[in-house]
Amino acid sequence: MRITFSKTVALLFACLLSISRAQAIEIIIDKGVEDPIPVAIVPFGWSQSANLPPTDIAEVIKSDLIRSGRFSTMSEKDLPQKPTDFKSVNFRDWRLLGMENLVVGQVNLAADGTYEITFRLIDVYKGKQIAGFRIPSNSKQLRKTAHEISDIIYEKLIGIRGAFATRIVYVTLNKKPDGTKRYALQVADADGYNPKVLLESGEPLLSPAWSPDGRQIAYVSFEGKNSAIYIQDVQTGKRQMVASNQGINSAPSWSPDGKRLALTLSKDGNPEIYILHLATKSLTRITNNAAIDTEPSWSSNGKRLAFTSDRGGSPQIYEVSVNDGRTKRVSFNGAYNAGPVYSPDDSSIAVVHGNSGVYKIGLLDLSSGQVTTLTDSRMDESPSFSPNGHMIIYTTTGASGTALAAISVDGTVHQRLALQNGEVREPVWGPFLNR
Amino acid sequence: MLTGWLLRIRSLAFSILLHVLAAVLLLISFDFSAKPIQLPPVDNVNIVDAVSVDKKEVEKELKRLKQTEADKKAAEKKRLQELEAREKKAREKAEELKQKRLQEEKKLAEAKKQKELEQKRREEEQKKLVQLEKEKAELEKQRKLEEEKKRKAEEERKKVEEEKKRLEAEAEKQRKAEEARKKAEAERLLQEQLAAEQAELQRQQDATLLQKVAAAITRKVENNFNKTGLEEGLSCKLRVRLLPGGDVVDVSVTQPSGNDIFDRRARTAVQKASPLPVPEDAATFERLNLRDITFNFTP
Repeated sequence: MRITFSKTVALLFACLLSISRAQAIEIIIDKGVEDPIPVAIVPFGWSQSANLPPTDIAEVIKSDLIRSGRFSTMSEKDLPQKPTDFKSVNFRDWRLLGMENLVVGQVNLAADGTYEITFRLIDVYKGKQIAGFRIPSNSKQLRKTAHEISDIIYEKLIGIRGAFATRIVYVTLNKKPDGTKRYALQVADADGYNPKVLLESGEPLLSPAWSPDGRQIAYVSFEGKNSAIYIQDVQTGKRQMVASNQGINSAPSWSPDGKRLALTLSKDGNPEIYILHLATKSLTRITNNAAIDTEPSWSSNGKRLAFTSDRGGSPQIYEVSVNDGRTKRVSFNGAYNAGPVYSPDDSSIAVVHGNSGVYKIGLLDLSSGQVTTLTDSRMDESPSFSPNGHMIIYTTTGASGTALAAISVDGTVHQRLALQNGEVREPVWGPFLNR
Repeated sequence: MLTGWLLRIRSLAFSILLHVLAAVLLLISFDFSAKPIQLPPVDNVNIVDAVSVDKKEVEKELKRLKQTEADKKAAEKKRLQELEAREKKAREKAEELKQKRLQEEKKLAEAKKQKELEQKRREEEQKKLVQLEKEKAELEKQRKLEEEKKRKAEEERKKVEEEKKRLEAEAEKQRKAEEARKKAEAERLLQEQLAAEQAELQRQQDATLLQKVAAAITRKVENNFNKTGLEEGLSCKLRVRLLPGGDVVDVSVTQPSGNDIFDRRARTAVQKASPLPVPEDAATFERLNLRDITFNFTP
């Protein structure tokens, strides 16, 4: 009996052993790193033997991706090979370098002068194409096409549409040797290239705002000595004055449906928030408070306005319901919070967060009420979200003057945008353009 | 001899009978030589059918008849007497013959008897001889049977003995085999126990080692798992095949997160971490069953 028993035990043990052997071990990965994603952009092939294409597509893409802060690339001299199509890729070489993704492509110039750009985004470790497109273009649109490719790469590797093929508007100020000032309203690509002056003025130009379709810009001009609000067509340059009331006319903000402007008027004695119905030019007063209420900003869903008010003793952020005027204070951190802008998902509001004379870009989380500072300069102003919500463009003022800068909303990437001479003010990131 | 006698008696009787018959026929023939007579019916029979005839004639006739008759009778008597004499003589002769024959017969019978006795004696002797032979044969047969029986008995005895020996040998063989089997079984159990103990020890060592290996693999993969830009709350499972030495040869997503980018980052993390830090010894690698690993990405 004992023998049988021990035999049974031995048998059972053998069974258990074989079972445990049959099971694959499981490893749980509950941590990770927040590193830039490696993606190599190989110089694109060029169909002509002579000359070079007017734009180095790969270089534009590379700059875009680096500027976003979410990617790491390789300089051209470090590339192990320069394939221009999928079948030429030697995956082993790229894997040895830990290069996860690869972009290869070709630029073809047709006899009629049109271009066609082909590119493939490749998963090096899987050895498969992630995306591949053929995009028609022309010599003037090559940079835009490159930004569009960047958008696709961004979307395929991060999961959210890139905002490279977008534009920004800002105001520059140049002081001439004779002491006069020149203000200019300018539109440029999101990377600062291709600036285009929409309007120049000897008097201040302020508060540019994009229409939701990206075709128009509203702004404040002092050209008539008093402030007035204009709407100008970006393409044609045609403009119209929409508000020229007594007192202050300032801080226009387009409603998401493009039919209304929120603005600040002091026509009734005190700066208050109004809504201007563009079709009828009628006004709806939103706030009514003895303190200053200004800098209205539409929420993305169009239901609320955020604005700055010192009704609590210091400038803070308030939200008001467009429908019923119900108002509540939303910022409580710090002595100064102003210049609110909703994130595209309405979860947070970018603000200028001031303490003891130091102004930084802060992110006000609407669910917690907490403000997180994203920058660490002394004078950062005018935050504006990229349309995908990943970046914030703003101005930073230092010893060398005021410049455009960008930061990722997670605070990891700071970027100064290369710009022309002069002081830059109030940058606003435009909407996505239709593909 | 007897037959002759009987034959003689029978012929004598026959002649007598013949005489009588002749006499009768003589008597009757007259009556019947007359015209046939219609016999009356039986009830009114007349004993005599008297016919009227001349008496003298009749008497004469009768006398003549009587004479005839008497002559006849005398002749007959004489013939009878002669016959009797002849017969007596014959009889005497016969008797004499008979006596003679009887004596001969007696002699013959005696001889026959003697012969028969002799025959009988001889037969009996023969019989006795045959009997003797028979008895002898029987004895021989008995002897032979006895011998056969004995032989058979001997054979049987031998057979039984052999069977007994065989059975004994068989039993011995079985006993030895059983002994050997028991010994082997005991040995086997001992070995099994030793092996089980060894395996248990190995298992414990392996469990510790596996923890270390898993921790090292986890570290390496986590360092390569890039969460940049990924949304929270996703998870996926990968099945990863390794070669001894830790080279990742195949990664497949067995349970996708629903987000292709997340799954790709997880897959890339494992592939970038290749070779995974596994024991260098191939036997240990196999024992820890590291060829097939499931990765559960739940950041």
